[in-house]
Amino acid sequence: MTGMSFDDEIAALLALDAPDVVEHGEEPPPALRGGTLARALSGRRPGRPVDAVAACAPSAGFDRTVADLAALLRSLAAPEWEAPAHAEHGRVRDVVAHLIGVERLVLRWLGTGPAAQDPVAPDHVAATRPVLAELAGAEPRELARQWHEAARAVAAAAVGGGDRPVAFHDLTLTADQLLVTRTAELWAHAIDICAATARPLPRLDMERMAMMCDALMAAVPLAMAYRGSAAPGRAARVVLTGPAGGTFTVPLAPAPPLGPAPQAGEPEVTIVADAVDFCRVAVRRLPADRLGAVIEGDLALGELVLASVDALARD
Amino acid sequence: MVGSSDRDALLLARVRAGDDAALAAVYDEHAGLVYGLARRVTRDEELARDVTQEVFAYLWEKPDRVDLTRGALRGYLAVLAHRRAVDEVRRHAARARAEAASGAPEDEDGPEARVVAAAARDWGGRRVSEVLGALPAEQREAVRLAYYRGLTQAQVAKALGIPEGTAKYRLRAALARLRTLLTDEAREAIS
Repeated sequence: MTGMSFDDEIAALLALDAPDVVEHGEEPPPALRGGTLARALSGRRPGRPVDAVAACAPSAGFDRTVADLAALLRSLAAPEWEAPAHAEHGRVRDVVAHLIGVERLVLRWLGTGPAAQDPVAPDHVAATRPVLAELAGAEPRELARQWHEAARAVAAAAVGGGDRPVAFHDLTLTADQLLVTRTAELWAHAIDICAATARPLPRLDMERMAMMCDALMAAVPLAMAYRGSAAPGRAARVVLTGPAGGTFTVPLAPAPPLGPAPQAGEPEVTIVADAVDFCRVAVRRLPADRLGAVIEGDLALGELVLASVDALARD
Repeated sequence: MVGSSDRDALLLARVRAGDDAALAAVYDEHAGLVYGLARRVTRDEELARDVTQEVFAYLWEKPDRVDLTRGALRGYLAVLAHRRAVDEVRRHAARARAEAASGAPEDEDGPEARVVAAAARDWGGRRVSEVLGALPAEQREAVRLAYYRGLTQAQVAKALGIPEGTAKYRLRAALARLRTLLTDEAREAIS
């Protein structure tokens, strides 16, 4: 292409070749549509972005996010640990104490932590309140050390877990899904801490974002059911833009535990949004109505999907 | 309501994200233009189908090549179709010349013969050269540099040692004049 604008070139085409064609076009042979689309798709598979990055393994994603948060905690000055960071947990130090509590719970669920003395509260915030009380007088450096140690123990306990079912509050996830969920929670709390201490918001590398997008899209049917919004037999097309995204056709209800899964129909709605922002909605760090998503097709169904994507977030 | 430029940006973002439904939507909107241009330039249905397939495959595989700050997606596809079609005609013309030089028999009724005839008529340069020859020399030179050698307006200005605004004016005036000069002949060709 030259540096001329398309409009200049169109003017030249008008002058030189085919004024009527530029104005009105010409009906192509009907069979050309199928052949053209098939030829294009044979050169580049649909579903993945043109500049796609490969998703990292859940264990690698969790490890990197633990390292990022550990570095962030090391950088905090003493007064910053006292900054208000979360509506329910409280200050930065309370968020970190909450995370210590979560890692302890996860170790129990993975079967390597101390035996349970008390039943685990189903509520994610309530479940770690005893730990916040226990660590109320701890030095920030000690909080950071304890959390890092517990998080590394979680990573070690989850190695090779793959598809092994693991409890997570009232959900049952695979060990890999648990690691992705935990990666998302660490990212969410890193956002809280950075916002509380006037730091730039943390960015995950695209490999981790791709991992999160894939897991998030696979979890949409469960999220819809969890919110009471399941739409059996219906499907949405979700187009997440950016190298971590892709195009996903997602059924809007989980497959039944027994028998064949009902065939989801053609997508009745297309939702287009930035992949990173979509993940921020899923971890409740961006309201769905500020996502800037474009919804084509069944608008009500699209809004229902957007309202459900954060259903499985725990922070 | 999504405006046409917003709609282009959205379709392009979806194509980048691997959304084949978006590619189908682009085809449905612009195939008439792409195919029509290709057929007009090549004067051959089979070649026009090939060019059409190439254009949409190129968009699907390299959507980042589209710069919407330079114009609409429609314009990009039209320019791409036109160039691919011209390339196709030139390629066939070159092959035909080589065959003629080697004494190889030519299929008088095949698409190549028709393409070569079309090339001789439209792209051998005679008709266009004649019309270009009717332009004032300063406008002719600007068109030659911009449209046929692919220089930007700024580069045309530099090459001719004139201000950019003057280069822009000469190009616009030349294109307007060309449009007038070619109208009758174009009508005849179309009919």
